[in-house]
Amino acid sequence: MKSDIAVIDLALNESFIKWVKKSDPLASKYWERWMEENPDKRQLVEEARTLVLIKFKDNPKALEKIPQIKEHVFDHVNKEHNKQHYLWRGLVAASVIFAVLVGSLYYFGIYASQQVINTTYAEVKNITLPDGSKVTLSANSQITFKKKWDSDDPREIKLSGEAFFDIKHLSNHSKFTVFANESAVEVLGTEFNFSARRDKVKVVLQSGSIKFYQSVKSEESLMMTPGDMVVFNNKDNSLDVKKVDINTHSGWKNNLLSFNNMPIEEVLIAIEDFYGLKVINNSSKLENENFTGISPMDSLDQIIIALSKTFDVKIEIQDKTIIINN
Amino acid sequence: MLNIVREEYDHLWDQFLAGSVIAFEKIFDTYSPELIKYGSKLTTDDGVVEDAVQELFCELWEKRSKISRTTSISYYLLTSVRRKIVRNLQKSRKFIAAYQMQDTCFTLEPEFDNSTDFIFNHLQDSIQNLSNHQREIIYLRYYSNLSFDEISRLMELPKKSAYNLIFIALQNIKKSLVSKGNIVSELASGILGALAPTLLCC
Repeated sequence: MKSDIAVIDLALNESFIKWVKKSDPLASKYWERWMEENPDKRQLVEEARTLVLIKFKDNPKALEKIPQIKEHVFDHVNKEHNKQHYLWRGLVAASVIFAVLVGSLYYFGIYASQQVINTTYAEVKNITLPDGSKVTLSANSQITFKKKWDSDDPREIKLSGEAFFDIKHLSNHSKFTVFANESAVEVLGTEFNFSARRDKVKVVLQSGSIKFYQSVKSEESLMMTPGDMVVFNNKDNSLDVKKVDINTHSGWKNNLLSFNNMPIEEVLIAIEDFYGLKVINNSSKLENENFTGISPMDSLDQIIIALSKTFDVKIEIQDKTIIINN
Repeated sequence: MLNIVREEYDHLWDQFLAGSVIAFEKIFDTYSPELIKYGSKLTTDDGVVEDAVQELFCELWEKRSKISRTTSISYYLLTSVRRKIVRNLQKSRKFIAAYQMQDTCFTLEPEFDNSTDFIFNHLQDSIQNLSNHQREIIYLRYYSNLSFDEISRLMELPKKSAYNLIFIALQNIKKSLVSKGNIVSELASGILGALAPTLLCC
């Protein structure tokens, strides 16, 4: 009975729950040490852990309705938004044809008033945003932003892929936010490279300062200073922070692909992302190797030649596939 | 070289309050499953839950200029959706008798997994024997990860009562906890086979 109370006390402890749920690294450190110092409490801890981790069934059917609810909600958001533009409202009322047109715009949901810019493989685009900030969009990437930016509207943009941002500092100190995957970066005025490919989000700061939120849900942000690189992996929730040479991370801006002592797996992934090719590596010679080299982005051949010479492998391009053999 | 900044208020919520559609969409995508799951445990009427969630998000956007900052979006939204569901259920007359002001029904059905050194024997029964409030508080604490402070405000209970409620609930559940070492004898007596799936509700 006495141990029952101890188990329940533990199962109700805020920090203990955080540890069990792996939601706080500080709590983890504390409890791991506590376990080491109290090996006799193992049974107690395991029981409390089991209590905290009881699973309950959900009704999966209820969740199916979410897209429908979302459509209704953002339909409403759009209408609210457009109310501010009286001219529009007048026109909608006046013209049935126009109403049909607007209706079909609603069909595209919340992005009706959004600008979407894409790049294909090996393509780089320069874009000036409505506030004067500049975006260099890397290959195989996309940004989405509102077409009209009113002075008191938040400045914000959605990114998938990779881009270099040169954000203009406005006199009203309005913040600029870039959303990518589950993460977000918040800045005033600065230059940085932001990549969100596959499950990885990578931010390299060139000048100024930015706040990095690994998840829009997290209660903490990281204050980055120039030269910092933050890599967050969605898959295993790992966060890696280090100082880097900025140029190797935004070389693509000048149409250069540059690799500075980069693990070969990452080099191959970068080639896949930039050129839209599939890489099949059948060679054992590339294992645990690193690669250093710079090549113009529009010349895939140069990288292929460099790789085959450096590691003495045969590289063939067939259709949309690169095959590496010994 | 890096500073971790602990935010006093939730930044995503702040961005939404400032009029960010992207932040609002992120909030919807992140929290609507949580709200639907919680709501469908408060009532078996899915329509009521969907309406409440939709109404809540529409109102949030409309009234964003009047909404206050928050430290926990989860808490804010769960409280709002609960209030809406209870109000809607009370409105439809058939529920008035069964529905006392604060005594919502709460369905909780355990799911078994073998990931720990322990198993539950009669967990289904012990959870069924809890009060609605006890089931709800277990859910809010361990599933929605609300603090006791937030739970007591959400359920409109004094903090001490909330604590007692969950303590007794856990004590009951703890009784059905069996170490895996004893599993053979339990199986032999056929007790585990008796875990028939029964639905718990009011």
